[in-house]
Amino acid sequence: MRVLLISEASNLPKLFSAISGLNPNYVEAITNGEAKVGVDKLLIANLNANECWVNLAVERAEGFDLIALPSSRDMREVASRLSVRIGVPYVAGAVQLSLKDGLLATKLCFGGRGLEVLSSQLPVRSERGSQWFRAIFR
Amino acid sequence: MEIVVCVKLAYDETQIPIEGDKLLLERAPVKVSDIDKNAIEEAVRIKEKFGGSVTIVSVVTGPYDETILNEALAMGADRAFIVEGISGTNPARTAKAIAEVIRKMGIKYDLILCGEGSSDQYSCAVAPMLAEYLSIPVITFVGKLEIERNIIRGERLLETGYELVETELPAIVSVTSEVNEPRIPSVLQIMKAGKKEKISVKSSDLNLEAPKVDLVEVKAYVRERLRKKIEGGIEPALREVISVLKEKGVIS
Repeated sequence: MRVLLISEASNLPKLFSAISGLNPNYVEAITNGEAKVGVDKLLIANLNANECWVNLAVERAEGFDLIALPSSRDMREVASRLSVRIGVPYVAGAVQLSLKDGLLATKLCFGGRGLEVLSSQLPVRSERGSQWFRAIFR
Repeated sequence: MEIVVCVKLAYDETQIPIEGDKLLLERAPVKVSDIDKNAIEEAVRIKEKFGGSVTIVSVVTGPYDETILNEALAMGADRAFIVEGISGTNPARTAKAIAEVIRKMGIKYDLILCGEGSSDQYSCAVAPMLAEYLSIPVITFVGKLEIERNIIRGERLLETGYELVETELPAIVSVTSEVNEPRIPSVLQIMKAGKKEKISVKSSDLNLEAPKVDLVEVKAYVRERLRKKIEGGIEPALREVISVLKEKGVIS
């Protein structure tokens, strides 16, 4: 599995940790500053407006099975727009992920009183997160 | 100023009965999603200042209750388009349905307002996705809004502070609950709102092709406590607490 992480530098280590359980073969990250993470490739770009994040992500997204982003407000916008722009599914606010005949993502809903289990075939984008993280998967 | 407000009829998350690990959604009432009320309020305030009209577009994915939608109309909106027949919770499909209704029904808009996220799902995805489907700019998580001629300025509330963003209309704005205090319509206003125009749109008449996510199950979130009792002197007890927190991944 090839994973692309898109994150502000401050959230990148936690995001990397969040997807490590899926045992990806290759992890690439797009970020906006120095970050100490054990990814295979780190792209640091001068990214300010959300449009810049979306455009760069669209350019890099090809060939990844999963794209993961943290759950900051900016990244939620980036994830949603990216999902439509490249035409792949999106799961917002997942707290648990597993691979079983595709991707299973569990997210909190109904004000924290409920859990929804969502499935999507890989390659697919979805979202991984604890209270801190969201992501999309391809 | 022609304004469209996207409104979700959401399950009232505070009144969902739970039995064991099951959420009894069929017995849960629906309501206008909390932050969508802020969006309606903002739209009505803009209409009161600049003139024009407010159109509600609601994509019903759960139960439909006309009296609840009347409450939204009673706040000052002029008419509503309702899309029924869509099941499940997929923000991409909801955004696509709204975009399709706007195009197919020829709804004019200078501004589209949404709540930042629904009170039941809180994906926060519909506004940015709709912006992509309509190819217009979006400003998300806006806590303060200003319009000057065809320029809209939004103060975005972010985790680390706020950001002032402006763009040209037409645009989409998602608002937070800080943007205003929604008015509460009177019973008489709600009854009168029943006579306002409500146009049903069949989902089968719309192109709802959107990235697919399947709902496998919905269950109650049962919190399980560790129930670990730590005894002894303060220092060994603290060491034990730290050890347990590390073991459970709370701290590293």
